[in-house]
Amino acid sequence: MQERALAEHMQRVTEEFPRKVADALARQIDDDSLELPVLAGTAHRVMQMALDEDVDPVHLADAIRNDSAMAGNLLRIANSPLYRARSAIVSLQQAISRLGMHQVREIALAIVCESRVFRVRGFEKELTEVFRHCLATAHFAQEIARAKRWNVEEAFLAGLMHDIGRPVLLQAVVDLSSELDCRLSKPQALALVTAGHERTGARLITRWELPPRIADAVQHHHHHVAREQGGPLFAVVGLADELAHFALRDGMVDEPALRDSPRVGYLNLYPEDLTALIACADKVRLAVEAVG
Amino acid sequence: MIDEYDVIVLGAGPSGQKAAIQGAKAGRRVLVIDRDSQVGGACVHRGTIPSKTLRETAVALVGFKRRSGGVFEIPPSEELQVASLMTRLEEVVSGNEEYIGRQLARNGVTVWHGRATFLSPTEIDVLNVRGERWHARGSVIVIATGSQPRSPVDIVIDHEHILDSDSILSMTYLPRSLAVLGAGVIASEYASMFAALGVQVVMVDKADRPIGFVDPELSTRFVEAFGKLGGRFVGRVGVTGAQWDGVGSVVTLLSNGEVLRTDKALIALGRVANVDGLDLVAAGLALDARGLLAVDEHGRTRVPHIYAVGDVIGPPSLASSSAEQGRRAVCHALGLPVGMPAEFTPIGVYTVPEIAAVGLTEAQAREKFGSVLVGRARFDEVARGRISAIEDGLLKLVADPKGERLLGVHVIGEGASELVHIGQMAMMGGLGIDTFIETIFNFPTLAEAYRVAAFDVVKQREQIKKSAA
Repeated sequence: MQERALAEHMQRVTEEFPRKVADALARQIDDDSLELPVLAGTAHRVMQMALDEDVDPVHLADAIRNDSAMAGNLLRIANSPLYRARSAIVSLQQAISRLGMHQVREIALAIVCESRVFRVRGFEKELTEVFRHCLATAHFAQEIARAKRWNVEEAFLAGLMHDIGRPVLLQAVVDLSSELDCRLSKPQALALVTAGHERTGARLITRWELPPRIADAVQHHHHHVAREQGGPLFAVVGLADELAHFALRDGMVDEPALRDSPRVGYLNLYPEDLTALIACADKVRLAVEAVG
Repeated sequence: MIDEYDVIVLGAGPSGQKAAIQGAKAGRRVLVIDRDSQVGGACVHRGTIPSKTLRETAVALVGFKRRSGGVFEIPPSEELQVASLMTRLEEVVSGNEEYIGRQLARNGVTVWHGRATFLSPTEIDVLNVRGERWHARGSVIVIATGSQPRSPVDIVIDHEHILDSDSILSMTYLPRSLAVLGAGVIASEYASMFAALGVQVVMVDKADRPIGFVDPELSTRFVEAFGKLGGRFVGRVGVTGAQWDGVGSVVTLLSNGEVLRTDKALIALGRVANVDGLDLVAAGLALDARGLLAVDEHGRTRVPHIYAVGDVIGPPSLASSSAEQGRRAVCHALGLPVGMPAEFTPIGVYTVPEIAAVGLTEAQAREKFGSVLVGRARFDEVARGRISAIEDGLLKLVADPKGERLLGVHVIGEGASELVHIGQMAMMGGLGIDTFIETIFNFPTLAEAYRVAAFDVVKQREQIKKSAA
């Protein structure tokens, strides 16, 4: 009898609990009641400044200085093997003049995302991997945009944000499982955040008042075919996503699959164009190691 | 297996389209091969059409201020996105693309999307983006592969801070300042366009004036108009370096010691022929010292059945002249009548204000005829010019020494690219200077400038007669 009860319980855990949480999550996504992370204080200011091409470096340094964790993180990255100059970088001002405003803005954006969104208790390791993947996608998106003569910064931002819906949904899953008293295993919880992460990411980006083109690209980055609406940024992010899986060797994409990607044709990239992008893998991995 | 065609055209830009249509209209089997998935070439996707769409906005902003007598002004905001200034672009580009695609299809032209390589002077290998290959053989081959911006070896174009004409319109926001290196058509068009949008623009070049091939009087007026928009032209100066300082500016070092610090830089130092991967050697061809394909007056290369048209053969590299070159090349190849000589092909430069010309410049006419008579009409002498507040315009007629035959027309001012066609038609019809005096034009129109300039020629003609008597 006890065995039977245990078996029934296990079945509920494997089937019913995830379904209950999944249904509740789907309702929250559908009725837009999902709780989205709010960017407040320094993080919000830094995010806005990092997106402003004309920002004064001194003002950005001042804003970052207000958040000691962020400042420390930036200095750590500035001193990493990828960026470090001959002597150690000890001040934010020095970091900006050494790394350049552009690099600092990119790093600041990455830190804001990582510290404010990619943090869910119990899933630190998994989300670090997701964040590293996002960073790699951002760098590849930048390279694709450069090759196509499209906006490089916009592509970086869209790549960085493309999976931001995943940690948001994961936090919701954790909250819901506690609310509904349905304990889930890690694989179960992670499996639930796949569907709807694009839409959630796009909503978050809209809430954070980032450009609508970024939200559009994030929402549609899994589209395989041409869309009538919007520009090609969704395909840039989609291909960068595949390149990032390939470069970080997570086993999801191999070179033949990459060359077969319908996005390659959609973006009119010839075999040698793709070879040049694949050749960026080492550079991208270094950039990911430095920040992630 | 090799597909056989009467005419194979490499490239679907303006020259390629017209070459293909001409071949098809003559009842020949025609194949067009283009490496882009959409037809239209750089003209539709990266050049003429996108830049002119942005220009319309710039001209509207300048015109609004002028026509309101300076009472109203729309200062472009710092938040203004470049894309929002080109909201109609997608519609305009897809409209052009659809039209070209329909036209090719209607005429039974086969279009292959892929990259062409000569296997021999008559055979072409085509590789598509999926790595698939086809072969085609053509009795006539027209190279119309266009051009791409030239990248100087000592300047890194990152397409983010230092841009070229292919990436300049990818900027999200209008920069506060822009250095334009170069003073040709593309440099001058973008420099004046961005100046009109409120960007602080410095244009730098080794030449002493911009757009060197137009009448000097017009380019001098252009520099003045550019100055009124807030732009600055620095001539007779070389660039010793340009790079992003990593913080907030592109630093451009000039040979006169001046250092420019600008938000962005546009490198517009000419264009190079798009011949990468064509394997010209297999076709029996080679580029000349200027990096272009040499052709005769019919567009024929040294291989008699291979023609080259458009940007790959060099200036004037305008969409209109390239299209005509394509048509004429195929007519010649197929033994069809070619029509009027190309000397009456007008040029149009879409600067702010526009510049247009047809026929001989004053200097060319003097060289050919010894002396010439030149009639001028400033737009402020014409009612429509004053009404439309385009007083800085000028129309210049170049006549033969007797002041009877029209040799050239040169116009600067809004509407110049349309206005020049009156002179073009007159020259093609062999009409004399007096025609403009005897003809009734609508009033008030800028066409009246022709009458004013013609009177100027006649006045000089009468004075010469009086002096001789």
